[in-house]
Amino acid sequence: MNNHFNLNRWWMLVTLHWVENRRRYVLSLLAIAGAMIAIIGFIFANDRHRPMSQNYQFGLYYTGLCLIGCFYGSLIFAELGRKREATLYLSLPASQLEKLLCGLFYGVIGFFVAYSLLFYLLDLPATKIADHLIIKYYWKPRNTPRPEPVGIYNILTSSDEYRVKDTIAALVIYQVLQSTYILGSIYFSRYSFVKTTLAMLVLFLLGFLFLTNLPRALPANFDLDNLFRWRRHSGNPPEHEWVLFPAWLENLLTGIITYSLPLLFWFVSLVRLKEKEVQG
Amino acid sequence: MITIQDLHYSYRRKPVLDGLNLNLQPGYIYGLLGKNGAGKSTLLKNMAGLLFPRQGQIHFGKYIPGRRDPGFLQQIFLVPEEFHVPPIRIGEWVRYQSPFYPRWSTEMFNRTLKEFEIPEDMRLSELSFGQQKKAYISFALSTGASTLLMDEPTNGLDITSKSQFRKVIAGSLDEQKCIMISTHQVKDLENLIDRITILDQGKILFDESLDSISRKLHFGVTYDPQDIPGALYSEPALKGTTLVTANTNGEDSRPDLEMLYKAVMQQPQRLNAVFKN
Repeated sequence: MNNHFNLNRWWMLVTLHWVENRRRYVLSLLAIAGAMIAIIGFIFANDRHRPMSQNYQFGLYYTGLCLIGCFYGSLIFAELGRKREATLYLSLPASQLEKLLCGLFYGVIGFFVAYSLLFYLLDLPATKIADHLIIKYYWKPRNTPRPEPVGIYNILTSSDEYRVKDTIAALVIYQVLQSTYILGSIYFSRYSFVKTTLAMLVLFLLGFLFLTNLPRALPANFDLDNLFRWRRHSGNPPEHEWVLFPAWLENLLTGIITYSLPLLFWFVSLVRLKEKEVQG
Repeated sequence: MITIQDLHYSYRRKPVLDGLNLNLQPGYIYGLLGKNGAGKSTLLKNMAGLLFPRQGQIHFGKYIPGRRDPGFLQQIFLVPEEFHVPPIRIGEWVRYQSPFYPRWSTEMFNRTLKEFEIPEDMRLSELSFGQQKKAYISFALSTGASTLLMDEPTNGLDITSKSQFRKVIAGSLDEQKCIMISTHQVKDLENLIDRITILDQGKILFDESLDSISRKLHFGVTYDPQDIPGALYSEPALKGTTLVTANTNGEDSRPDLEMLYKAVMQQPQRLNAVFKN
C-alpha cells in the first residue's frame, strides 16, 4: 500500500468533501452572488456616466477574490480546531498529503474557478446593461462620437499592458495571502482569520522596519535602491556608481521571493498537518 | 498487536501518562477503567495516533500510530466520547466513507443498524445523540478494523441500547479483532470483557484477565464481622457486608467489577500481591 499518495484515495477524499459540504458551498455562492449584485447596483447608482468600467470590474473581481478567498482559506482546515471534527478528519484513512491536496483543490482551484464563473455570470449582463444605459441615456449630444462599450474585463489576458502587470501582481498577492490563511487555519485552533491577520500585520511591520533600517547597516557611501540594487557615492562632486547583482541572479531571487511563498506556506501547512494533535 | 512501552504524555506541563506499558492481543475485549483524569482518553488517543507520545513508543505491527499512515488508520478505529457525524444521509455516509476501509462489510453495517433499530433513510444530524452514537458504533464495527477503541461508548445510551450494545460487541469479536472499551460505568462491561486494566495517575495500576481474577479473588457477602478485617476490600450492603478476598480455597464466584475497581483503588499493592503469588 502507498502510504504517501494514492490518486484513487485522493479522489475519494475530494468526493467525500463535496458530499459533506455541497450544501454549505451552494449557499455560500448564493450569498456571494447576492453581495456582488448589491455592489454592482451601488456602482450603477453612483456612476451614471460610465458604470461597470473595467476599473470597477477589476476592483470588484480582485477585492472579492482576496477577501472571500482569504476568508475561505481560513476555513479550509478549521475543523482541526474543533475536537470532534478533528478526530474524524485525522482518523480517516488517507495520508496527510492527500488531505492537504484535497484542501488545496477546493481552496485554491475550486474556489478560483467557482468565484470567477460567478463573477462573469453577473459581470456579462451587468456590462451589457451598462453599455445600453450609456447609449440610451448618457450619449448626449448625439452628434458627438458614440461612446466605446465598457468591455468585459478579462482576468487572464488584457490588451492593456498596465493592467496586465496589475493582474499578475493581484494574482500573486492573492495566492500569497490565501496560502497564509490556509496555513493559519491549521496553525490556529480558533479565530484563525483574526489571528492570521494579526500575525501578518506583525510580519509586515517587522519587514518594513527591516527594510527602512537596512540602509543604515550599509557603509556610509552606500544607499539602497532596492534589495538587489545599491548605489555607491564617491568623488567630489559625488558620482553615483551602481552595485548590481548579476541580472540572472536578481531575476532568480525576485522570482523565488515572488512566486515561492505560496509553495512554502503549503509545505509548512503539510508539516503542521502531520504534527496536529487532538488535545483536550 | 499493539505494544506500548514506557509511554509518557503530558498536556503542556501537566503529566497525564507516566511510563505506561501495555500489550494488547487479538481475540480479546479489554476494559479500561479509571477515575476522571486518569488518562484513559489520552491513552486511547495515543494508540489511535491522535496524540504523539512525549516519551516512549507505541507499535501497531509495522506501524507507528503517530505517523497516521493510511494502512494503519484502516486497521484501527476510535469511537470517541464526543464525536462528529457529517450532515448527510446514512446511505451517503456509507457510500462515500466506507471505500476508505478495504475490509468494510455492508452486511455487518445493515445488521448492526437493524439490531440498534436505527432508521436507515435519515440524515445523521437528524438522529438523537443516542442514535448517532449507535450509528457511529455500527460504522466502527463494519470497517473491518482489527482494533476498535471505544471511549465511554455507553454514555448517552438508554437501558435497552446498553444491552443491545453488549450483544453487538460480543457478537462482533473474532480471533483477529481486539476491542478496548474505556468507561466509568463498570456495570456496562460485565459479562463482556476478557481483561480489565485500571489506570491511575498515568500508570497501569492493575491489569489482569477475568479468568485470573476469578481464580485469585473471591467476591461474596458476609454477615460475620470477623471476616471483614482479612478482606482486601469490604463495604456494607443492604444485607450484610460485601467482600473481596483472596480466593485461597478455590471457590467459584462471579467477579463484581465495581467491587474490584474499588478494591484496586484502595489497596493496589495488596491486590497485586495476591496475583503475584
